[in-house]
Amino acid sequence: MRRDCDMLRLCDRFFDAIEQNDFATVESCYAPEAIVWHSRDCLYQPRASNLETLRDGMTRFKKMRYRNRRIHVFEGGFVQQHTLFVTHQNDFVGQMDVCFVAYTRDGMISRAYEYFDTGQIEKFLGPRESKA
Amino acid sequence: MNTFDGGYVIQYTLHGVQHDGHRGALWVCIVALCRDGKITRIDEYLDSGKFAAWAGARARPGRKE
Repeated sequence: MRRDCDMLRLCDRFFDAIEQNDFATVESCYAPEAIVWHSRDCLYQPRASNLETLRDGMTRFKKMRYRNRRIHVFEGGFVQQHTLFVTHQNDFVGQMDVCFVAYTRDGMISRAYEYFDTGQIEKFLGPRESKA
Repeated sequence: MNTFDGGYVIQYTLHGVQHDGHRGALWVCIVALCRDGKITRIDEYLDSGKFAAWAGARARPGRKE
């Protein structure tokens, strides 16, 4: 049976934890078999590798903020649309519109799909870094 | 495709074949809100960085007709 409140709680816990640099909680949101697909390369990233990517972002940026979160719960998962704002070390604030579709099992994310537009990468990385 | 109260989310790969035989693909996610059996809002997510590969020769600069 679908429990919308549990799903919403998982979604908030995951993205709040990234914002708060709480890596242990981020990790606990992923099921052991978790994989994450990205529209950038259309590949599935294994759990450990994706967690490393998240950890890298959490340390590399001064701040990560998920704003304008719009969450919908469906049977077996949820979709969140948001704008990710990142504050770079040089204080440039980048942003990216993202759609995150997650499939869950036993209260954890087991498979996720992340859609974003690499055509907008300059707005995210800043004019200099995106050309490097 | 998954439905939620007031809408749906659909993920798909759009495959296209042009008249010159070029094949392209785009990976799309649409979040749609509905009312009275009709769509009231669509948010479409795709990677514009893949448009050139999608369009093929039409997108390549300096092509000859």
